[in-house]
Amino acid sequence: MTVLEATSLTKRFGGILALSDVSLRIDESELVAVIGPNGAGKTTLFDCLLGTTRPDSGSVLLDGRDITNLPVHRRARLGMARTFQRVELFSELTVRQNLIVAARARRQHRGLVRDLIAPTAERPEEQARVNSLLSLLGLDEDADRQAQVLSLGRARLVELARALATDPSVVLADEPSSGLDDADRHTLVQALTSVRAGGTSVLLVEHDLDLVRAVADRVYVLSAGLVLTEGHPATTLDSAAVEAAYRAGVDR
Amino acid sequence: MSEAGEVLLRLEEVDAGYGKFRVLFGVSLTLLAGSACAVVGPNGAGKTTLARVCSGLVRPTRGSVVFDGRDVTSSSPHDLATAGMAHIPEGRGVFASLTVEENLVLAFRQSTRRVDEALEAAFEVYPRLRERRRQAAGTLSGGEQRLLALARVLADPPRLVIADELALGLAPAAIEEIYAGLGRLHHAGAALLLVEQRADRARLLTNDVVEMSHGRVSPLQEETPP
Amino acid sequence: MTRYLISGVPFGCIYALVGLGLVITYRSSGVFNLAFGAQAYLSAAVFYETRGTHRWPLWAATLTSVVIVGGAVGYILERVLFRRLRTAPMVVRLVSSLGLLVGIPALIQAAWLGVGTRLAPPALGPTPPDVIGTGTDRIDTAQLAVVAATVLITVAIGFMFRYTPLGLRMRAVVESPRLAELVGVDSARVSSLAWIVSSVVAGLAGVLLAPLYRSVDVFNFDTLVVAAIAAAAIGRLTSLSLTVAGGLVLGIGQELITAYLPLGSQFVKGLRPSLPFLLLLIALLAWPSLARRGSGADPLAGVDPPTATGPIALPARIQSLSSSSQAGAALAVAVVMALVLPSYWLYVGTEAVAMGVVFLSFTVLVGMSGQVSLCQAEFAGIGAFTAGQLASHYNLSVVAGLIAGGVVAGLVGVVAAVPSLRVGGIYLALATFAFGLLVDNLVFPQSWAGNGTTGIVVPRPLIGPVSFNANRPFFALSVLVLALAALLVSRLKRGTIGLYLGALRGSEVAAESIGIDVRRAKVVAFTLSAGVAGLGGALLGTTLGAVSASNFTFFQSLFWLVVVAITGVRTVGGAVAAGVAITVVPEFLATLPSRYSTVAAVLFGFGALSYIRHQEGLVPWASRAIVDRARRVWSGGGAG
Ligand SMILES: Nc1ncnc2c1ncn2[C@@H]1O[C@H](COP(=O)(O)OP(=O)(O)O)[C@@H](O)[C@H]1O
Ligand SMILES: Nc1ncnc2c1ncn2[C@@H]1O[C@H](COP(=O)(O)OP(=O)(O)O)[C@@H](O)[C@H]1O
Ligand SMILES: [Mg+2]
Ligand SMILES: [Mg+2]
Repeated sequence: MTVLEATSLTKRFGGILALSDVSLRIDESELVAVIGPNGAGKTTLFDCLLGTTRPDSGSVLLDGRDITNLPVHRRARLGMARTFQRVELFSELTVRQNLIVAARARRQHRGLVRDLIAPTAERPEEQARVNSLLSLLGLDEDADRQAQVLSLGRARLVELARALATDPSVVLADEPSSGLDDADRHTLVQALTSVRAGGTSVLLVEHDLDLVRAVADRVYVLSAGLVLTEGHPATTLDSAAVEAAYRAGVDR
Repeated sequence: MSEAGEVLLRLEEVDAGYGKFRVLFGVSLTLLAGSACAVVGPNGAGKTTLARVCSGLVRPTRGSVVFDGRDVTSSSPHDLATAGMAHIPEGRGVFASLTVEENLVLAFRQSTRRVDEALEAAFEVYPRLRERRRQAAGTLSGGEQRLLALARVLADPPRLVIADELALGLAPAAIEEIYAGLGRLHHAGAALLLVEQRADRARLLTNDVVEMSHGRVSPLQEETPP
Repeated sequence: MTRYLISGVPFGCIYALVGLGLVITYRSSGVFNLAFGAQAYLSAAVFYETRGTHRWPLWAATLTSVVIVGGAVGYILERVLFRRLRTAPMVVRLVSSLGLLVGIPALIQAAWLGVGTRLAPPALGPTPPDVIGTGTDRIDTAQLAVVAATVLITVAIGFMFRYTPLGLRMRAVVESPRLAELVGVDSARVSSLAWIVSSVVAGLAGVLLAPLYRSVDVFNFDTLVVAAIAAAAIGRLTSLSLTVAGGLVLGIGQELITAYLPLGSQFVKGLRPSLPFLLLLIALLAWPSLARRGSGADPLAGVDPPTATGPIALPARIQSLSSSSQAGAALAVAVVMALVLPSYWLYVGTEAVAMGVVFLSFTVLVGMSGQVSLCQAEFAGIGAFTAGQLASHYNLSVVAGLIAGGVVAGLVGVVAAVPSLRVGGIYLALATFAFGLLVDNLVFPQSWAGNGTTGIVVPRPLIGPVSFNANRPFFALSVLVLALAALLVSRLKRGTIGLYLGALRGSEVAAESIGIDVRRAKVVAFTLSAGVAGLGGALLGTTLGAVSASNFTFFQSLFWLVVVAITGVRTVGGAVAAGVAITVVPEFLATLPSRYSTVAAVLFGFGALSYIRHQEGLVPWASRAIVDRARRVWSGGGAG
């Protein structure tokens, strides 16, 4: 079943055509990678999917529902989550609090009244979810550190954990492996696999083609705002088209 | 002035950290003039902190840093920059609010070459920057920002370049371009201190690789004796 | 029509000149220097002393007051203060410059001139100024000098920023002093120079402007700076020529209002001085590029160790234990005070308690959400006036009035929250400032609101047969209100909304991306904060018995922020301590000779500088230090 579907997304920044008629689809429990040179429009695609940027034209469907005109937080509550290429953590909160706030924001909208009547911070179901995510991503040791002192790799894992804490049906991960060392990369691969096994779809932007080969079910190749090709990683990644895109279209 | 083969940078038993949080524990390191050395290690090992200690951004709490025969443990970063050490920091290493050209001019004003000559030389190496000379550097793509940071040192190679994970987040071809730039610098006589997650890329430029973990260094390969 | 255009130009240039000063400081140092007026005042006072009293030659007096004193002040401020602030958050920079705004003039008056002195200033040109032209089409030499200086500074400084190496370096250092160092720029020197240049501009403005007001009075300079902020905002805090244009629009606009709107109505009378703030608000709300999210953040910010402002890494249970024991101790102290204090001191104590409630409103907004509001005194005023008006017109019990005051202020808070949806940081602070000034000028003078400086009566409450006229029972009642407000705020802080606001101050895009309704959260924060301020204001009103517009001015808004920043804007304890400090300290100082009546302002103003080192506030800092020491003693004893 299709979870997320984008049709003909187009986005222009001044003279630059960042996305040109991009369509893409992700099924339930599918892990789809988007690859392409820097400046291809991958981050812009994510922004359009989640609503941070409004596309000039095109539409986005989540679980068959048209969400093109919904604000970001409404889309998030419907089950989308993302990580950011440039890490965006809640820097003054601890790692654990970063996850708790995400777990709560997805589900709870009557926070104010509850604060006044029953203010206890501890909510068992939240705690359980957060704890399991912390151990899934190997963050137990860092749980009570402030997010702003984490090194880049740790911060990326926390971002992924935070996105997962909202219990999304599809998670968009923007270069999650950049800045990770081998051990953390291993954790990441395991986490992605287990997330997908749990029924969550993943859309992944990644430069590390080995990682893509290892985890992805399908790959889209984006270059200069256009979808060049799409298909199974084994066949797609070694095609001449991809090679050409990576060589020629770098950093326009 | 040290000749090639003499010690350019030496760290002795350096401890450093942030506030009460200690990151480096007794780190020693030696780099010869014109040579190259790579520091590799997992996340949070302290590689960036080590780079910051070298360039004066972070003061050691113990130990000393000697650059070009001078004790620079408590020198300010601009002193070291003027003395010939260029640190290209992790992440964004350019001024987002200045244009491409202003970023270059700012750096070249501090160097020995004439500004317009240096500018010409930089654009020669990376013509793409010439096209974007009036664009704010913050709107460049990630790869272009790194190129700009490199161009700043390429036009007038300093004695030492510290490059902190310049390849991070770049597509393969962009990484090649960055490494070609670093190779060029090395060829022009600059010593390199490379910070990388993994040794494989760094080995393109040097066999002298030291590994860091938990704030301590250990040689991966025979370290060149001083 | 042309007549007003021409006569508006000199006034416009006054705004433009000060606006230029603000923009130059902001661009070259990254600090929005509200203390600009204080610096201008200092140079004007020195010029008065040297030229007016001691009859120095013009060049010597100008050189001394503008270049030497102005430059030295800039140099010193940078060395001892702003150098440390280069990488500090916006709130910290703003509060420090507010501290100077409060502290410098107070220091000058206490140490040198004496309080309330108004000096008749000599002009740079002939004194009194020669008048050129006749009738309404005239301009005097003092005005002419302002026009000339405006043109000169725009051209010279504009040239410096755009074409000189120094200008380029200044811009680089503002974005990231450390990255600038890495490319070989001596950031410290550049920033010293930036402060010297901008302080000389401040000094020049002071000397030029004083004659136009016929007195060297710090109040004139502060109001002027406040109006000039509008010009600077029109210039987006970066463009010199747009700032001048903004100043001219202001000057001419005010002339037109005077000429074409019927005088006499209270409202129109308030409109002329309000024009800058209206314009400021419009500029902040409508100017497109201000809404953009900041991209020029310092890429090397990660070099700093984290500030101690974050969550205290104590287990939740211990933390709640320690805060409930603090609360218990505070209540015990209150009970003892209620029993033993003499009546007058009880009255002072009640005032402290009421101010404590007002300060809790800062905890909600500034402490929890990190947004700076510079109109909290106006919210408090709205609460007080609501309670008073309801009591006198509808005979409503003041106890109900307290709640009504909170509710009305909260509703107004919704309106004040609108700018926060569009702009953040310094621009939001300025928008709330403009909002507060509009309330000051247009609403509070009305008889149905604060009734101007005459004021209105707010009676003491009456619950059934129990009257709270006497100080002792009233003190108990106030403590009860404070306790309830403190409980409310600490629950908010530890609950979901506190968590949401904490997330928001870290990253708005990320907060949205996990499903937080950012706009709603901001409006809620403003509303709650305004409501608490209104409650506190109403309580303060009934404590004092009578309040007027002068109890709740923009200056109070600034001053209160400074005080609570010192004691601790993030904790309930800090707010309560601020209430005590702001009432009790002046009581003690009142025993000093009157010449020193500004000592409290000096203390608080320069005390704000402690905020730089202890952003969590002195109270939490001290209590943490005590806990640490106790723990060390404890574990040391256990080991040994
Ligand atoms: N806010 C923006 N303003 C102007 N240009 C932008 C903006 N965001 C992205 N771009 C441009 O759009 C193109 C695609 O960028 P991006 O989506 O970040 O690429 P990728 O993530 O694939 O590296 C680039 O050329 C980039 O410069
Ligand atoms: N500003 C800072 N304040 C406190 N701790 C920091 C700061 N910057 C980095 N750290 C900590 O220092 C350690 C080493 O970081 P870093 O030198 O960036 O490692 P690397 O570059 O090897 O990934 C990490 O544990 C990180 O959390
Ligand atoms: Mg991207
Ligand atoms: Mg690093």
